[in-house]
Amino acid sequence: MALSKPVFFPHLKTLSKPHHHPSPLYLSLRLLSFATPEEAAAERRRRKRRLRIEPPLNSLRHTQPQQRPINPTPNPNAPKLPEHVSVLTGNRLNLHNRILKLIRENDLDEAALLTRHSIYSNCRPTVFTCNSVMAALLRQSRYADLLSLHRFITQAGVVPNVVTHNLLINAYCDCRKTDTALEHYKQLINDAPFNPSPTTYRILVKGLVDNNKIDRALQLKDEMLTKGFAPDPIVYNYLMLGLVKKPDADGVLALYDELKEKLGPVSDGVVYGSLMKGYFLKGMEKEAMECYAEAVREDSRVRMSAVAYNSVLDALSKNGKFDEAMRLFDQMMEEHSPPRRLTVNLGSFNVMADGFCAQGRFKDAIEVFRKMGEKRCSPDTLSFNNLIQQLCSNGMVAEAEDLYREMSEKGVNPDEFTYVLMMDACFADNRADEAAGYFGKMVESGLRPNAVAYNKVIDGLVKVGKIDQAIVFFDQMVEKLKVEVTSYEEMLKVLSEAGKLDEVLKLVADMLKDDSLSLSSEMQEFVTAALKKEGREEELVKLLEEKEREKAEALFKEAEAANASETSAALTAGSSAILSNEAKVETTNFGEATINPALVNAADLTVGDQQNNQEATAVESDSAEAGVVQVSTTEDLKIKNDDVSAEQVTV
Amino acid sequence: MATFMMIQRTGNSIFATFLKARAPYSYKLFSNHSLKLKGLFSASRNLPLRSFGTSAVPNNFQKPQPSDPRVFRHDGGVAQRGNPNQRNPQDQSYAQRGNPNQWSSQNQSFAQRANPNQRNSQDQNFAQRGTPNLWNPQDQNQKQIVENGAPSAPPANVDLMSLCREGKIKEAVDFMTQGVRADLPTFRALLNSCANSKLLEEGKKGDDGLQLFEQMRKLGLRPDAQTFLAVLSACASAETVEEGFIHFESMKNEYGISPGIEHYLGVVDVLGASGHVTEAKEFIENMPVEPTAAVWETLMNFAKLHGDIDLEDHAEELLVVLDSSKAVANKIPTQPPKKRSAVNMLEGKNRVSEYRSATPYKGEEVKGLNMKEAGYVPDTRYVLHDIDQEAKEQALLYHSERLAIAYGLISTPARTPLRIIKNLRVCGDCHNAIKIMSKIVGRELIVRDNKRFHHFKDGKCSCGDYW
Repeated sequence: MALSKPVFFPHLKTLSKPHHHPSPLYLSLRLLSFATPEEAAAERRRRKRRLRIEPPLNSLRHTQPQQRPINPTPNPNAPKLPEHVSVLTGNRLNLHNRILKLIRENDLDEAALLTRHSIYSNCRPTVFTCNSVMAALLRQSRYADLLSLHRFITQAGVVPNVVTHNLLINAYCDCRKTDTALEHYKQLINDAPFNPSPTTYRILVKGLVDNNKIDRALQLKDEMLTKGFAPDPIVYNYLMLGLVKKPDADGVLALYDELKEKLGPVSDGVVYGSLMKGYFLKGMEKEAMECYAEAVREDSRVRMSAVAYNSVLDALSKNGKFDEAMRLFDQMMEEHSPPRRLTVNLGSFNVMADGFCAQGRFKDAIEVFRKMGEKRCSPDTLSFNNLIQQLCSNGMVAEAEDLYREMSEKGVNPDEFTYVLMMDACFADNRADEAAGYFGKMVESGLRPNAVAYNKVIDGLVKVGKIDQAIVFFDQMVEKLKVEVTSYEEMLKVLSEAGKLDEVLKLVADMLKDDSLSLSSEMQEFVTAALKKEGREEELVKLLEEKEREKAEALFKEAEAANASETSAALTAGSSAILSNEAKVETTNFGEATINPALVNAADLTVGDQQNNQEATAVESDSAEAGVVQVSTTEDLKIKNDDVSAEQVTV
Repeated sequence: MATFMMIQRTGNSIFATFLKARAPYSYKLFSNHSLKLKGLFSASRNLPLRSFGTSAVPNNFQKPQPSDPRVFRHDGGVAQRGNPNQRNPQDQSYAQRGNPNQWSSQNQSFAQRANPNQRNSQDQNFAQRGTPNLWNPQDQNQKQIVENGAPSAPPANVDLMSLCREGKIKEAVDFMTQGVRADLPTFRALLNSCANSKLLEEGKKGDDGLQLFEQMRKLGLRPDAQTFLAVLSACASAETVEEGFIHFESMKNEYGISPGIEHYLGVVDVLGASGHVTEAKEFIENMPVEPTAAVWETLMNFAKLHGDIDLEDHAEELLVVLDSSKAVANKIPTQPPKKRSAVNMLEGKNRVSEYRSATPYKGEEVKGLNMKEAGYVPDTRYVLHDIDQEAKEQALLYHSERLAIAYGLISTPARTPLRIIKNLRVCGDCHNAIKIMSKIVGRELIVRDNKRFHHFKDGKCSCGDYW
């Protein structure tokens, strides 16, 4: 589609030239740093030209109008520009509003369905409508639905705009598929008739940093700068946080210096928290506190948002300055006056609760947590989990249970981690039944615990001797998950120790059923030994033999099925082509004729397989016979059919 | 010849006076008059028009070009041309103009401000100039020729201006390529008509506007605050963020015009129309002037348009603080987002993924679709070919109704009924199979064969197995 490989901003002047940033006040306003409007226009038109869109004023300058190609039916597959906001009128606007209402009511299924249905109706949804639905799906972490809707609208020819691309990249990053996200970004750069927005880079850099791909993120930042975007403090902040985690204090400081060099004094507060963390990492406490003073002092030019404050708060409380953090928190609470000035959000409370817990002041932590409601912040599952974990690990199970109850009151849905935490706490408190109850609730509420969670509950139950309950959960796990060999082995040990030999045999049978698992010889010996105690070792042998036989049968059937499908394909083709009586007769004739050699083959086979148990072999040889007959007939049939069709051709 | 031209001109001025009078009256006269004009024209049709031109510069208007739309209309007759459409083209396009903010009355008024009232100026034009080319482009053509009668007199700027006011961009650009020097108000009018024109598709309007602005700068004209509003709206419709910012800055730095709130609003429009809503919010927060209710309302509308619920709520709150009349009664509260890793500061503490689906799940739903498990036994009596049993079963699977249903099932959303139309009778085996299918997929399958309709639902057919 791209007519030429795009060359990006080759005309771009270096960023350090002073005339790019004429007045420091408006620096952050500028998104792209082209020197002149002509350059910007040239770049934009180059992108559009790839879609063969006419340059401006061309249609107006018709000095030789007869030379203009008249093309009444344009190619419907030609790449298009995304729709402009002005298309959102009339019925399409009504549809948009209807879908927005569904989104508000959180009926996302219906919203997505309505979008899909109207695609081929007489009122096609705009790309903005599709974006709204996808944004709502992303907000509720329903990535699979988002991707399928995206695929649908792409197939339906809805031209994506920059918002669509951002949503998709965001979804990929959230699913930890950064490579896919980068691939998509590359596609956007190469093919789209518009530039990515700064938000695109923020999403990508954040996704890369979250997935520990800091080097790639740094590369992307450089790419962003060479493409002419102004340095974005938020992108720098993500990178600095990534380097703090690494930890690479020098890198943090270098990034800050780079940003300062490019922007002059940094007026966006978001970077200061990570800068302080960098200083703390290097042990430069004095500089860190100076930086803190600069950021939060009364007449500071630095604009501090809630996010900026939180990161400073985090830096303080994690580096032994908790008293200072408490003071700052009070200041933030005072400054907070929604909706004009937002200085506190969920994160602030989480940081403070964390800090109090680290100090061992759990009562205060809970108190801070409760204050959240006053400031119109609502805790989410993660903040509950965090506090519950802190409380549980310090033996305050009663408080943790209070919090758990509060969750359901506040309409926050507990997730797998919450339940596992509560379960752990109950097991530690010797209340195995309640623990099992939590696990049951988790499964009931539609959550999908993995093998680790299952093993935890089974272990816990086994330890207190509730083997029957453990078996129930184990069966559940076998039903739902692919279970590892080790879990089977553990369970076999437990069962044989408890003397439940029937269960042991059933489990072995289960294990054998699964092709990906194999019973190790060690384990086989162990089970035999256990069975020997009761004198039932032959049962295992029988089981194993049966299994072998089944496998052989299965192999056979597969081969047969493969052949059968081939023949039938040939047959249907043949029979539809063959209309003459002759051909028909021929097919029927050889069908009878082939039975004899087939029987011979089957007899050969049975002779070779005599060692098997009497009854079982009888059954098997029957089936084998049938199979062989089938095979041979089908093969002959094929050949014969080929002949027939060849005849047809020659005739 | 000269007398003919004289008549023409007087005719025009008569027109103008009539039009200044009450409308119905003038209409009546107008039709009479145009008839007269038509007669005049038909008389002079075959005159070699070129002979009028004595200008040194070869003029497009002096050549009768068959492909020129104006000359083409010439044949249509003048009476037809005097249609109401022609009378106030501005007004129409004005009302129909695709406003990006359908929700915003405020914004609309902004657009009005940016756009000087075209109709009034047109009326003025009547009074002053004696309608150069209102009904009949041919008319204008003639007049042009007269003016060119004197050597080295190019089409005057005033004509250009009148063209701009009528929104005849094509003609205006033509004029300009011929070397008419446009001045500032002309350009402003041209930019505005570019933005309002119904003739151009949306993306082009902005592009053309920006191109014109570039020309204007090259000519060394000094744009004023109004011009920049038009430029910003051109940027919004061409979705050019970069150029929007460049022009916005050049306004302050090169031309020393300090931006008013409407300019900031213009930049928000540029950002919003291009889908940069987050950037628009940051821009508003960083503005040196206090944002007004209109600014927040614009942001709210763009957030709504692009589906950013959180930003929409935030902007709405701020709007209500400034203007409590905008508050929406009984609004549905927004559902809290499921994942808020961006704000909750608990990085690395989210362990849910460790407790979710790290191990693959077994495909339970695939099992459910297996028809044989649901009790399907192929009935091979309906295969009349003499082939063996297996092949018969296979052949049954390719009956057209089954293929149609299979395709329908994979390509339509769940739970919707399927309608299949078949030109032959459905066979007994397919009838059974479809009954079972309807039970498995839980959908209503309506199959019409050449005898009747079969409504398959929950494993039963409406025909009661008799057809």
